[in-house]
Amino acid sequence: MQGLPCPMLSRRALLRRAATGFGMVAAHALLGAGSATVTPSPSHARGRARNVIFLYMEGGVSQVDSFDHKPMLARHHGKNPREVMGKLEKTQFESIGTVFKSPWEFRQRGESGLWVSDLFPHIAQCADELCVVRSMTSAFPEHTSANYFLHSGLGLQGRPSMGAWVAYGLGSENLDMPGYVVLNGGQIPSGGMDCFGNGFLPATCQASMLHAHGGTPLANIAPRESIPGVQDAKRRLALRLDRMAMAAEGTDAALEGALANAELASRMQASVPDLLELKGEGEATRRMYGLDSSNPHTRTYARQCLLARRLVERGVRFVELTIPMVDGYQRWDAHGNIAHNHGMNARAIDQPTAALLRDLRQRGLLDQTLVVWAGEFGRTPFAQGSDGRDHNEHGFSVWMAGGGVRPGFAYGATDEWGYRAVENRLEMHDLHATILHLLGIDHTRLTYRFGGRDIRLTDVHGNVIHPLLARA
Amino acid sequence: MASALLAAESAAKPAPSAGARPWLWKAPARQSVPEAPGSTDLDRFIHRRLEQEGVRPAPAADDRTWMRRASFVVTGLPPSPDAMAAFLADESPTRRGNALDRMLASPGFGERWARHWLDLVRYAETRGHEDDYRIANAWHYRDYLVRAFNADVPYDRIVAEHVAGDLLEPRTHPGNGANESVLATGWAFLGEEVHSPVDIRQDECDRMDNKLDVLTKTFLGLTVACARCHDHKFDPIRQRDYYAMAGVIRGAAYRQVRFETDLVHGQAARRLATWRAEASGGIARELAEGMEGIPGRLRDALTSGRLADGPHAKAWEAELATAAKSPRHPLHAAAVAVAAGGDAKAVPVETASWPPSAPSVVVADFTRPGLTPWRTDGPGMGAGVVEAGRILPGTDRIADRGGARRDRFWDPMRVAAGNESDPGSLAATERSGRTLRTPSFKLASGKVHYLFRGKARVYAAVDSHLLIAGPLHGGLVARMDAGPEPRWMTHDLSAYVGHRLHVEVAPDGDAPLDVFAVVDAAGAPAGMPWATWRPGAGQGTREALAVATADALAEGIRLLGEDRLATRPELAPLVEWARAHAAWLGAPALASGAAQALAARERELSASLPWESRTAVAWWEGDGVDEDLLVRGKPTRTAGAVERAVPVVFGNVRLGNEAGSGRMELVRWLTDPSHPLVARVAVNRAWQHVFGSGIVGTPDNFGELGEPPSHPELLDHLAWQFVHVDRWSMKSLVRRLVLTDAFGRSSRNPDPRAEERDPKNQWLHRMPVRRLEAEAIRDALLAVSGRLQHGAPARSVMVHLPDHVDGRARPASGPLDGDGRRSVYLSIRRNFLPQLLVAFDYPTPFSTVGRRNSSNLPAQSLAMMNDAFVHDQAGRWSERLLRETAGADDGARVTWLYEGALARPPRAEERAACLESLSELRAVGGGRPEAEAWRDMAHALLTTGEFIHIR
Repeated sequence: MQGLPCPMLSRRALLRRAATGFGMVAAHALLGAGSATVTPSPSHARGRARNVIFLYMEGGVSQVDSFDHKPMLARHHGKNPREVMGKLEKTQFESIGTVFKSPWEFRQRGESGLWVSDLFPHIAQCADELCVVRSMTSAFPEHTSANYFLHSGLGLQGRPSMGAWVAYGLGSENLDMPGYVVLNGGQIPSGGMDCFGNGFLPATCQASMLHAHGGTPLANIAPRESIPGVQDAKRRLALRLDRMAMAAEGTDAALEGALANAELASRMQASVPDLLELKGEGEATRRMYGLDSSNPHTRTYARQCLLARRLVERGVRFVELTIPMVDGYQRWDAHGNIAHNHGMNARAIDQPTAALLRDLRQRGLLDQTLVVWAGEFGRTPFAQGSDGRDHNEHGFSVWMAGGGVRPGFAYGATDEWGYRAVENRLEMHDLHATILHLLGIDHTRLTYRFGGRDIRLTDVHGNVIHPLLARA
Repeated sequence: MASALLAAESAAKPAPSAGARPWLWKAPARQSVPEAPGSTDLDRFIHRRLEQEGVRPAPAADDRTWMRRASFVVTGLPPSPDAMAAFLADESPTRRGNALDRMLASPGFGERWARHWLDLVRYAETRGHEDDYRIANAWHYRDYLVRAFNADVPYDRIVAEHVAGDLLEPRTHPGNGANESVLATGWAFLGEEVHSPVDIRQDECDRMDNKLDVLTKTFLGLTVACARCHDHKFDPIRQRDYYAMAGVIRGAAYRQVRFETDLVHGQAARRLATWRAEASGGIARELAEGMEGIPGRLRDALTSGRLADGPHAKAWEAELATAAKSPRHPLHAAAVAVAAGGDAKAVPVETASWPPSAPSVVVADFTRPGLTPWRTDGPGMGAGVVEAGRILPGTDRIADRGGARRDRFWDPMRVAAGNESDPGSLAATERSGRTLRTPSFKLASGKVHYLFRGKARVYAAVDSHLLIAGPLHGGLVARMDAGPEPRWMTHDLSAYVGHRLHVEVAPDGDAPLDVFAVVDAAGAPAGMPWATWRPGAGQGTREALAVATADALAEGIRLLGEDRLATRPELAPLVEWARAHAAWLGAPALASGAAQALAARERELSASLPWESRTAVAWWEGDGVDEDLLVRGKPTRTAGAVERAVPVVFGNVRLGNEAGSGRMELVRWLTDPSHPLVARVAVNRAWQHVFGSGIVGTPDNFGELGEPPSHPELLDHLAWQFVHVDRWSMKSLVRRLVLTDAFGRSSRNPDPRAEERDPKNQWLHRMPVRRLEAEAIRDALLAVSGRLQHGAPARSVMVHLPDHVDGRARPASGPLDGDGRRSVYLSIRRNFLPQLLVAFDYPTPFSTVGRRNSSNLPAQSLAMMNDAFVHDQAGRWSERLLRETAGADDGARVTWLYEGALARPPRAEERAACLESLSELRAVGGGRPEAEAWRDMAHALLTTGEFIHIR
């Protein structure tokens, strides 16, 4: 283990670290009840949210085709953007086409009157739950760096992902499951598993990935022994031998911890299949999510969203969903033919996402579950080539729902083109600070000492954006 | 304005004080060994501390425990039952030392300790990010390390080779004479790299930062990279110090070095140069003698416009027609007169307009020696500038123009089959051994013009960007065909005005290539970097021109005969033309005996040389570049260049000058026996690997935010001894540590007060129980099962990827058991790290990780219970059991398993428990074959905590 726990760490986090690293305490707790809740300690502030579901829209969704309505684009469609918009920033491909109107109509939705385009007809019906940030920015125009930045607050590999920070700060409420779970829909982001890594935080904080698109859901979760009882016999023998050796040569925290983990592992062997068993869900629920959809990608994302709810119900702190392999490796990265790319991606995620919001609401879980919907950057309001859009980190839209955010609300604005954030501009660090705040964590106090510095998810930046918070 | 102010403020700051740990900046002094019990000096230091703290140490561990512990620490493998038996049978007083010496002499030592080192240099074979592009041939660096640790290359030499292995007197591979030292420099390029970065300079700053971070943490145990944006918050490292070090790194470039032939070719090139220099006078004289009659016959032919007779008449006419059209032809003026059928009026005289006027900048001029530093990555472009008028090396021709000229002697150089190429279009491997580079410069105009003859591959190393793939920056590389005459070729780099770059040039394929000059200018230069002889004004009649031309040729031949033609380079094209066409002009048998003799020697040399080499990542020295201080670390806010130097807290040590990066000076500073940190950091790392945690618990940070040393005098004693007694020998150091009483203690201290007084065991009253590292677990499985294949494979073994591991650039999956090779030889791809190793805290290779996490996760238990590889090894092991213990009873078999996996026989109750479970495993499911029951028994033993821990 690197460094020492910092004094400002919550007792609970400390307990958890001790639990997995050294611990007699832990071994005791782990060997006790199959599922135990560590007594919550007062965290830095009162947060409404207890869990996060992060719907990660990898590749970069176009804001001007989804949540940021810009009539100027239709008015100037086909014109040279340098003539009507002025100086343009450099882009990844430097293949700048004309001003490009959205292929989708925008409408005001619900009581709130939020603008949502026809790209997302189901999510649009939940507009009154959404808290849209229209003035999001990133610092990186390339996928990998931007992915790392969105996840970890730094555009380089190796920092802990926000899910890891949350697991580190709050621990898990379910000792049969890890604190940070990624439900993989098929797409592994640019930058690989490090987007979900624990960096220098204890390995307990790293994401456990469950594969929701078929095949083995979790590495090594399934016993290989075909005859019932064999694995159990082996486990009992190994435990017995270790106990005998410890009786003869002395106990040790490291060995005790290993034995405790063997126990947890076998509990996970039981609890993960239970988690994945969706037969108990009602027919209406299954249909609402789209498990019966004719589109295989919608079915995948439906499964992911439903599993996300089940994980939250089981007390997993941070659940992240990657998108299905809708368009090969293209993700939302519509450099050409955005109508096709975004249309396909939206068809996969729209219905399940809306169902997740409704389901959480119906079950009374939405208030304590923060749903975050975001990509690593947005897209240009002018075309790349004739009908695509290039990366644009200067202004884009993300939304949150539940978990103590202000519903039916839009915050910030881009310029009249939807190009650059001009009003109440948010940095990634601000989003991170606000997410942590909603969980009751002061982002300036959640630190870990590494390489000579007390490092935070928000580095030395970030402000909690109070207007995004629901009025008490 | 703000940046200038900030820079002034930073410059005006006084040198930092030594901070909270003044001892850090002073050389470790020789310590007097305390009067305390202990069989080694080191133990006396430890014992005194235990006495001071009132802690009684644990008794000695038994032999088997010691042997298993030592074996894992020294070789990363469990002791084989044979090794254990030999050790137990040895009754001499030096039995532990004897066993230890066998371990230190085994290849396992280097494999184990090289793996520790790979964590420091964030070793990987791909670059991560979107497409996980490969780092071509990166694994040679790893194999170098294994060999270096096994050969016990002194640590100061290892440091030196990492920093300047390309510049030092090389150390060679004892088997094949390959250049070992240069391989060490590959570490610099093992970091992440992005393709198509939008901000190419920011990207460079990030890469440089990573290199500097790794360099300073690894060797100095300091977090210098914390000072990128501002003075270090805790340690006396100023922001200026960061940029003073960054310049050193910025001065060297990437290459793929032909390390197997590099040295032998270097020697051959030197011999060749000597032979050629010796032969050139004779060749010139013989050529000149043979050409004696040519000027007269040329005069006649130019006067008449015809050759007297013979088979060349037609060719002559064609040549004259060409010359009349081509102002650069040596016979141009005379040919115009011939074509005009009489007088040639107003023959233009070519005036040299060189160098081009400002703002054009001559980046490189290879037409004469000494104008531009000569930097090549091998002999393929010759041994230096060839002067006009000299014998063209390796030929019996005369150099018509001065330049860098492809040397055809080296044409047979080729890259070994299976050698990897760079991703994208960089082609460093293809260019390897034949590349010429210019000095670095800041691009002023946006266009670079090359004066070439032949075909070239050009790479403009703007901001040292080398992962040239994807939508941006493809224009940094170009292929250019200048044709058979010198011609200006233009490289449009207008997107990079203001950026720093150097240019690399190599021949394209088999084509010839001469490189004359490189110019940064808006338009191609009008003139040439040389003068060409022309008949003067007033000599416009055909006769007069013929006479003048013949006279000039005669003068040229006279000078050639004295080997002084280079003093009149403007005559060289005419003389070379005459030589090439001697057969037309009555000298059909123009030949040089000296040239033939030289050619014979060259053929002999050529036949004796190895031509095929693999290539490896390496540094390539450039010229000295001071890095700009970047306000708040932002490349857009420069505040003046910072002279290269070591951090000023260490004193005033300048690094480099205009001609060199400063890496050699850095080597001298780092390996000075009085350096305050290098030895301390090294011995502390070794201590940590032997004892589980360092004397300084934060091995990469000796600074204020790191942990203070638990035994400061011991640390200094060790460092002093390492340098002055053991002469930087890592094996001697490890030997000393492993033979201490402290290392030999039990992990259990029967005195309960010891745990109370030293719960964290910082005074070393006992040995800690440790979980094995990821590699040691996997390697132990292979060793126990009998599957382990010793030695290095021909290349990295592809990692086995289960079906559920997917993603962009997923490589083909390798064999489940990695062909039985040790984990250090597995291919490390950033986006597809070996999952089994990751489960056991294999670190993300992003920066120096001197101390791994040792976590305790359910995923680890799941892996040992259910991983296909573990099951596979358990199966092999049990098959071996039944084979090797045929006829033995169950109890003996249990003992065999125990000794294999845990290096001890079972206790009676353990044997009984195993036998009990064995009956259960035999009976389950209504009775099973014997082999299956034993396989499960074997597997159960591998899933015990004891198997993956050392006591």
